[in-house]
Amino acid sequence: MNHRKRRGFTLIELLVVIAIIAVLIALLLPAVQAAREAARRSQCVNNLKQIGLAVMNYESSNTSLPPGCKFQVWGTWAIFILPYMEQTQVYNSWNSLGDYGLSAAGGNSALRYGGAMNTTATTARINSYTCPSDTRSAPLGGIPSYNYVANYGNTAITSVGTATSTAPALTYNGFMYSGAPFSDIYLGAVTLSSITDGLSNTMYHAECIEGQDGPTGQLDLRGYIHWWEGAFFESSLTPNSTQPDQMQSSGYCYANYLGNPPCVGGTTNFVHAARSRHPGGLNAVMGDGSVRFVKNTINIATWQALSTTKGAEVISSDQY
Amino acid sequence: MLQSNRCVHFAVMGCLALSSALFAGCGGSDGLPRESVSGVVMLDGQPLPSGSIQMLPVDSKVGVAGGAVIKDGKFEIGREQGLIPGQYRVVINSGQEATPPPSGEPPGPIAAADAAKEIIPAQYNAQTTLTADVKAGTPNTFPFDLKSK
Repeated sequence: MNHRKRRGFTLIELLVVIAIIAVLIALLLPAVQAAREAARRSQCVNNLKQIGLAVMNYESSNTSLPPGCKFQVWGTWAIFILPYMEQTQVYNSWNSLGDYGLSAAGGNSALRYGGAMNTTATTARINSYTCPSDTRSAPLGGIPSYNYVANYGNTAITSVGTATSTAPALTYNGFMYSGAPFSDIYLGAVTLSSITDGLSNTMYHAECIEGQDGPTGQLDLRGYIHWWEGAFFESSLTPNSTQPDQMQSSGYCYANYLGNPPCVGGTTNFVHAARSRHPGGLNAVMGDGSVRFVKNTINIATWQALSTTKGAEVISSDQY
Repeated sequence: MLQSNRCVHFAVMGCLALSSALFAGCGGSDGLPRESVSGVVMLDGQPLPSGSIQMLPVDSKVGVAGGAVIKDGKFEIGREQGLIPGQYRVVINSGQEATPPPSGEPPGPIAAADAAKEIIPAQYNAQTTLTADVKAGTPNTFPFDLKSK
């Protein structure tokens, strides 16, 4: 019998080593992923800050806040603040003559955001409107979707009696409209003096998620901010809510696909929640230029108070 | 031989236990005592084909709002995103579209006359009288029987 001592590892030793490595990787991987998301979020916050500053610079030059939209199709805040986002070239290519009085031959449709005279501006992707935490969607008509939406107040956009402007609903689900920093240019400009709640208690912009189109061409137009309905959020739905977004048509959203948020189509009120891909909440820029992280668990009274301009609510900073 | 087999077993089981323990801590819980909510919505005795339900806390200063899409009369809010126990106002909407919009091109303006109509009476949405009492520990299943007249 020749008992030769073999050199090498036993199976047990190998298994223990593999187990230790597995544990280490399992520990490390979430940390790495979290660090990546933290980096993306900080970029996202930075973009939001730039938008907030652009709105303030617009106000300095024009003594009013930028219009939320010019009716439904002739531009939104995303166009009007471009000169203050250092995108003057894009802004200069925008043709702002679109108006009601125009016939089709007079350029009514050509002057829309998707019309021939304006696609130079609207098809140019603006990096500062894009949050890296979200996934890019397929641009409809070459016009990209983005990740930041303006505050349209605490109710809804209504389709009732809106022949010449887009109007906020005066009541929605028992909530009374109490002013918003952004609305239709045909309803008049919002000045800072009309924000009686105070700029640090009023949100200007928050985040939204780009809707991903369905597998056979179904559109999801959330985040399509050159179009009026995609340009806003309303605080009657809480951040990242399970309450479905109410779109103008069921053909404009496609829920439960590639992480698309819940939505339904076709009622008289259009409502869109602010949403983000960040864990636990989303960022919002206030009128004073500060960016706050708002948790998903915020109660609806506080969320509404943050979005109104003249609700005269008492907001304690530990409520969100 | 038996001895080493057992050791291998232990090692493998230990690995599994450790890794599952590590992943168990990664739930998306936000610390709220959420409950899952589900139910059935009937309109004039027929399941509501499509629509939305929103559940808003009666005291809007506490709790979180929730909601779901109604499909073929059924709705469900999972526990992970559920509602905390308490009283809720219930809002049910369902729209009827006149004409589906043209797809594949950027949407144009919509005239008020072309916008969808609400088919649920106002006592179930704008001036809702529906309520739901979400309780802890019991299945929260709510049947809503709506009348269009």
